[in-house]
Amino acid sequence: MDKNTLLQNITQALRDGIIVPSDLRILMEAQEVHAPRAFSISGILYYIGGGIAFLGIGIFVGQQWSDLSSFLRILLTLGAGLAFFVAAALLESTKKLDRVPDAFHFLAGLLIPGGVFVTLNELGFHGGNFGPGIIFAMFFLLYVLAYRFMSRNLLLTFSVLYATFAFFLLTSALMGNAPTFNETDYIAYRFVALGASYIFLGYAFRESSRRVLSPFLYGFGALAVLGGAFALQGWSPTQSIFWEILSPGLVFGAMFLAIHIRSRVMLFLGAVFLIGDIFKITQEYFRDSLSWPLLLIFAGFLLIGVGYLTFYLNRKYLRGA
Amino acid sequence: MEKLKQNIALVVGLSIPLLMMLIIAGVIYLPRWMNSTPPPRYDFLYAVGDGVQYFAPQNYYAPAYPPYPTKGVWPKYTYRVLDGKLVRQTTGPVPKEYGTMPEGDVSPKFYVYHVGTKKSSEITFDDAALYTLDSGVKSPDGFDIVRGQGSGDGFPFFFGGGNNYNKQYIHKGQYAEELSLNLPENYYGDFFIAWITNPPHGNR
Repeated sequence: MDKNTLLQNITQALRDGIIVPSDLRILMEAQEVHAPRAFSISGILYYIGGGIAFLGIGIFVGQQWSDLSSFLRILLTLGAGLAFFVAAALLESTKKLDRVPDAFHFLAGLLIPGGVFVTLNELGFHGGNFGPGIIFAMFFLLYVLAYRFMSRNLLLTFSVLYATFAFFLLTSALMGNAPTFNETDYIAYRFVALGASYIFLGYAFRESSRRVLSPFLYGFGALAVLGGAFALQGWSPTQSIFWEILSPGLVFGAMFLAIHIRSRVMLFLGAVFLIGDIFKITQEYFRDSLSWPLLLIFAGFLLIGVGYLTFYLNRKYLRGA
Repeated sequence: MEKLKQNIALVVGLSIPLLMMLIIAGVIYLPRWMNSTPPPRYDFLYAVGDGVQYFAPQNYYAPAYPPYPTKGVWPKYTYRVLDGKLVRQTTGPVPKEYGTMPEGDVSPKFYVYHVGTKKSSEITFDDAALYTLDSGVKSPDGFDIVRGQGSGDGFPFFFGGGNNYNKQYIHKGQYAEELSLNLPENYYGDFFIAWITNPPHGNR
């Protein structure tokens, strides 16, 4: 069967409703999953090139900023960002330029939000967290929409980034400036929630073309959950017993979850936070009952245990992950 | 339903931040809407200037700050709360470490903050000395005075959003109301002297 006949058959099957467009998408995604991960030098160079170009634009605009009119300020930030986005979308349609559109999307993703805020500033809008939060929430939706059309993981990365900004800005706006909660605890709680969200998203992406994002989401998610829980424990004499009990549970949970989802970075972070918990609890509760050298011996053996546990879990379950 | 089951991790991942925002909004705003915290009832005395020995409960080593020189002079008088009354005491001789520093009267300005009208009025030391005071951190009805949070506005990011440490609030549980005090701009020093327990003003 030649290519044209095959395409005609597929078209006919679509018309007859035997298959639907989402079937083709699943088929394509499955193909991408089985394809080797493209981690080429050229791919890295595209991003480095995009970053350097962004830096250049930033320095150039920064040097001239006070001499630029409002129109030029908007044109050089928002205008340039939109131009890069359109260019990336047009290059996308040619399908012959490898990952060059990613470099343009990278530039657009950095320039467009900055450009929108420059535009608002030039128009005289100032202050508040709520407005920027809503703007980033809209960017999140727009980039999810763009991802639906262009299927570039970079677009999805930016949408996760924008959603993160939106979450922090909107929760700050809800809190206002009033001292309703302890500010440090409030930040820690938000990190725990965000981290849990990242881990679920990473898990959701694990068996699709988006799986390249999963290790990053697992890593940052585990860091946020375990770091937030560690911060919530507080320190003697104002420590939180609830979080001091829950935090090691979360650490062990993360280490066993790491095996299930085959994430080395989560296992490593679990080990790091377990060491942190051992030092903290030992120092806080056994400082007066044990002498310092004995404490060091005790903590040292515990660390050896953590090290071996990590090595064992990694060798037994994660080799080749 | 089948689609939801397939994408349950995605749904949960996106729901967590949304749920947290809803919970935060509920915790902060529901008590305010339901008006569950009665408004504060006790006015308080505060001062702007030097020569006041503020009660410092956070300082484990000294219940009150020792006198210190101001504007190049050693304060002749020190103002403090003693046995429920504002008193003026002679500070004493200039300590040796300040050499031949001159003595001077650097009286602060005293104000009463009326929680009912939410306004301050300046009073003399003689009038302030008539009040019965409670120099505890919390008022008899459980309110305290705290600074605003440090996180500034998110926008404009790169045009310098200030923080709100210099704003003062009267606070109890989820209730927090900004105070309109006669403090100098960007004032970070102490100012609160004591709650006025007699006569109680405000809504009582």
